This record gives sequence, structure tokens and C-alpha cells, in this order.
Amino acid sequence: MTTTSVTPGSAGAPANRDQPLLEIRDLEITFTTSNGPVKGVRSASLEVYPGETVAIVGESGSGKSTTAMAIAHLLAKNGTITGGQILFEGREITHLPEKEIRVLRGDQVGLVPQDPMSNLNPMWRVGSQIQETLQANGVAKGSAAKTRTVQLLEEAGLGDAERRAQQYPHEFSGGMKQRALIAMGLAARPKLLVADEPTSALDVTVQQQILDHLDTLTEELGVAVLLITHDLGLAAERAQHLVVMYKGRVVESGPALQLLQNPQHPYTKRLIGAAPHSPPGDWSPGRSAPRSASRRRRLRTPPPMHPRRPPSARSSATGRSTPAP
Amino acid sequence: MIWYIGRRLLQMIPVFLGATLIVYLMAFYTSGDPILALAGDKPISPAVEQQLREQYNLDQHVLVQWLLYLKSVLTFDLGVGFNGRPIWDQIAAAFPTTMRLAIIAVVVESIFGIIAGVISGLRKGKLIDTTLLMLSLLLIATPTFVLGFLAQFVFGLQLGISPINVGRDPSWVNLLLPGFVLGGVSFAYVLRLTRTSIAETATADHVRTATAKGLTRGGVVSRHILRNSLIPVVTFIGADLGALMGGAIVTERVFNIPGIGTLLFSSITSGEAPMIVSLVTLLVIIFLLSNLVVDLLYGLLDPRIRYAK
Repeated sequence: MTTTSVTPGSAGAPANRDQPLLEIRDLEITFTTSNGPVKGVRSASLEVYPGETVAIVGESGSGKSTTAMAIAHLLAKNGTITGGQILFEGREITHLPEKEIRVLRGDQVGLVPQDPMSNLNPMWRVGSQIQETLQANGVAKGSAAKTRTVQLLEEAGLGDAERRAQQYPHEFSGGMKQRALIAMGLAARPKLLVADEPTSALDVTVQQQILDHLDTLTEELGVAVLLITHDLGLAAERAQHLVVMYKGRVVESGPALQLLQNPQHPYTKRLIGAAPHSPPGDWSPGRSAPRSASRRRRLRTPPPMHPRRPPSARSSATGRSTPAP
Repeated sequence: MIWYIGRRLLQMIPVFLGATLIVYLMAFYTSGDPILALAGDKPISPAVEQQLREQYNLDQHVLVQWLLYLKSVLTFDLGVGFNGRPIWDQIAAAFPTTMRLAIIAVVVESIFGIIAGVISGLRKGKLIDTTLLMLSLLLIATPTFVLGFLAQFVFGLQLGISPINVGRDPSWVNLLLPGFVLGGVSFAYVLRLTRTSIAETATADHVRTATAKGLTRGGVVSRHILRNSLIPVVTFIGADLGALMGGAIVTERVFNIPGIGTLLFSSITSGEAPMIVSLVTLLVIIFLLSNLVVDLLYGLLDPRIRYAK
């Protein structure tokens, strides 16, 4: 892996560490379909503090990506926020007009998308797609942007970056594309990086490398990460705080370790039981919990948020290697 | 790249031979006796008939006629048409007019079609989209001659800004109205193709990623949606250039333009095989060339289909 040269950006020194960077309150998202309106997310709440990594865990269709995409208004055309609030640095951005939300995109909220194969435009050189981000956010222009692009690619762990910047996406492997996308997401030094299953499409070995790299980078830059994943083990390994979503609702949230050791919601219990690398007898029983509706309703409201430990203590809670006690 | 173009040009030779042979056979077997057709109702003396047959090689076997025709093509001497004028001269006189007409039509359909298609595709399901779709359906459903007469009536008679009869050696300006009529139907197709393609690309993952970077909507549309959507449109426009050259028959007759279409029509009705074959061959070559240009444009648009150097 290439040595990284990380330039500290504006995100490195958040003004107030006690105030959440991102706050989502009772978010409700509705999709208009041919069968009428469908609620993709109902009553989702979460907080991300500056520099912290929070993971949203849930099965596909649980609304985890939808919740995250709603932050920078990147929902599909038929999806709208029908309730709740999104606050970024204390400012309400739920219904900001397109022009104002555009200011946030890129240099406040960055995105590392899910599938590296389909998220780079096949028609443009990889370098020019990163350069575009720099220019759109007024970070650098012209030849300065070119130099910066190469630096960013190196920083994301791409070898021979100068030549790679001149290549097209189809000349990249999946892992290389994902590295380029990470470079792109972090190009304008956002304060919050939404990483939507950043490695699900990659080999397990490459997954580990890329996640490690992403961890190191975001830690050095002080970027808060909202990690979306269906993999509880991975979430526990990478995030200090877990948010479990099920059928459009946040069913449970809390510090990673605590949530793993003492899951409250049956779905979380099942998740833990289903995790392939959970040692038997540990954490919680591996049986599937009853899915009684009354029980679910009772548990719909997440347990009260625990006072967050400051991000300086990050990763001490769970340890980087294994979530098991 | 040069090798690629060279190879493509070489591939035209068998296509040229095949196309001429097929057309020659078809013209030979379907048009009846051209000399009798030429003579019409008047009786013709056997001596004159014999002489004409020899002049046009009609006494030879059809394959020999075809070979003789190929020889005349290679020597750029296509002989004299039934009306006494050299075939080559007749084509040379008609070709620029039709070419101009086709260029106007292609420019009209490309510019207006793509712009309307982008608007429609990005506002799928909205009022403007529905309106444009209805308009395109109307254009597709209207026969070209109706469109032509309508244009003549409105712009020629009522407004008086365009000649109804274009006539010989027309200027670009005089060909504008016929060009719009000729490109009308294709405009509708370009609109629909662009619309579908744009609407599909607009939902692509990489477009959302581009939006997430903080680009303006215009930047996203021009850099990440439009370019990715153009391949089917370019394919159609390229093939259409060939079709417009040959398919201008109706438009040329409505506006009385002495072009390739008019020439083709009259030679088919009189069974003038050398003329028919020459014109069809010309159209085939134009078709092949415009398709070559389309294939080269693919490479320009999409780096994944760029050709080996």
C-alpha cells in the first residue's frame, strides 16, 4: 500500500465536539409507486458526532441506504421526505432548495457509493472525474486540480497514480475503482462521509484492505463516517456507535460493544445469532427470536441514547480486531 | 485507427459488388423490356431496336451486362441515359441538391430532436414530456406528402416566406423548408430515442455519484447524462443520413426539386437499369460511409469501444 500524504482539511478541527454534526429526528421517507405511496423509512433517528464513525446495520430494504441518501437529498426521484428533520451542524436541511443543498454536497457531505462498477462514469477518465469534484467545490482549479487529483489517488492507496488518473474506469479493477471513489468522496474534505456499503461488491481480502485504509484516512482527517452495512461484524469492528434498522425503523441503537453484548430487539438478536463469525455461546443465543408484532411495537422506540464518549476515545470501545469480549 | 479505417474501406468492395449484382438482376428481371417501354406505343423498326439493344448491351447475358457495367464504373464512363444525356452528368447535377437537402434535414432532426429529447427525458411524465410525445406521434403518423403540402400552404402561400416550387440549382435558403419537412419524421424518432436513453441514464448510479460531488444540475446533465445517452441516437442519425438521401423522393416531388430521388423515380418507371444501378450503388456507398462515421463516433463518445491503433 502506498504511503499516504494526508493534508489536514477544514474538517480536522470541528468547532464544537459536543454538538452533533448530523442529527436525524423521526425521519420519514415515502416513495410514490404505481401501487400507491410506500413508506421506505418511518421514524428513524440517529446522531453522528464530529469525527465519529456510526454504522447503520440492517438487511436490504430496511431503509438504511435511503436514510443516508436523504441527508444530501440524493433520493430517487419518487422518494420524498414526508416527516421528521435532518440537522447538519445544528442547521435544518430537511427541505433546503436544490441550490443550497448543492453547497453542502461534496465539501460538507461526501459519498462513497456502494457498487464501484456502476458508480464511475465509463465515458470519462478517472482523474477528470475527481478533478470535477475539486472544481465544483472551489478547492482547486486547472493544473493545481490535476496535481491534487494525483495526490488524492495516492492518498486513497492507488499505486502509479499519475498514470492511473489518465485511465478510464474500465481499465481499473473493482478494488481500484473503489479506491478512486474513496478519493472522490474525500476530495473536497467533507465533514461527514456517507459510506454506503463501500466494500460489499469486493473480494474479502480487498474489503479488509480498503476498510482499513478508509479508517486510517478518516481518522487522520477527522472525518465523521456514516457507514452503511448489512454486516454486523464489520459494523462492530469499524464503528463506535451502531444503529440497527429493520423494516424502515431504527429498532435499536447504542455503543457498539454494549449493543452486541446486550441486544434488546429481537431483530438485533437474530442478527447477532446469524453473524457467521460469532463464537457460539457468546454474545447472545443464536436462536431466532419470535417476531410477534406486539413485541416489535413495544421496542420500536430505541432505548435512550447513551451519552457519547468523545471521538478522541474512538475505537477503544470496540477494539479494531474483534468485537467479542 | 488508420488501419481500422482502411480495413473498413476495403470491406466496402465486396458489399459494392454484391449490391450492384443484386440490383442489376432485379432491374433486369422485373422491368420488362426497356426498349419496348422506351418506344412506347409507336412501332419501332427492327434495325433501330437492334441498334439500341447493342448500344445498351441488352443483347448480352445479364451477368455479362453486369461485368460491362462494372467496367464502366471503373472507367467513370457510365454511358448515355435513355434521354440522351450521360448518366454521370445527370447524377452529378442531381447529387449536390439532394445532399444539401439531406444535410439540412439531418441537422434539423439532430439539433431539435436531441434538445427536445433531453427536455422530455429529464421531465418524464410531466406536461412538457407528454406534449412533446404527442407531437412526435403526430409527426410519425403524418405522411410526408401531407406535411409537405401543409408546409407549402402555410409558409409558401399564407406567409409567403418560402418558394413552393424550388426548381433547378436551389440555394440553401430555398431548401430550408423542404429540409424541415424531410427531417420532420426523423426528428420525432430522434426525440423518442433521446428521451428514452436520457431517462434511463438519469437514474444510473454514476449520475447520483456525480450529483453527490456537488456539481450543478447543468453539469450533471451535460457531462454525465447527455454523453452517455448519445450512442443509440448517433446510430440512428447515421443510418438516417443514408435513408434521407434515397428517401427524399416524396419531398423532392412535392417541392419539385430535381434531385437523386426524382432521378431514381423516373429511371425506375422507365426501367433504365444502368441508371437505377448507379443510383442505388451511390446510395449504398453513402450508407456505408455514414455508418463508418457512426462507428468512429462511437469510439469518440465511449472509450470502451475505442479501436486499436
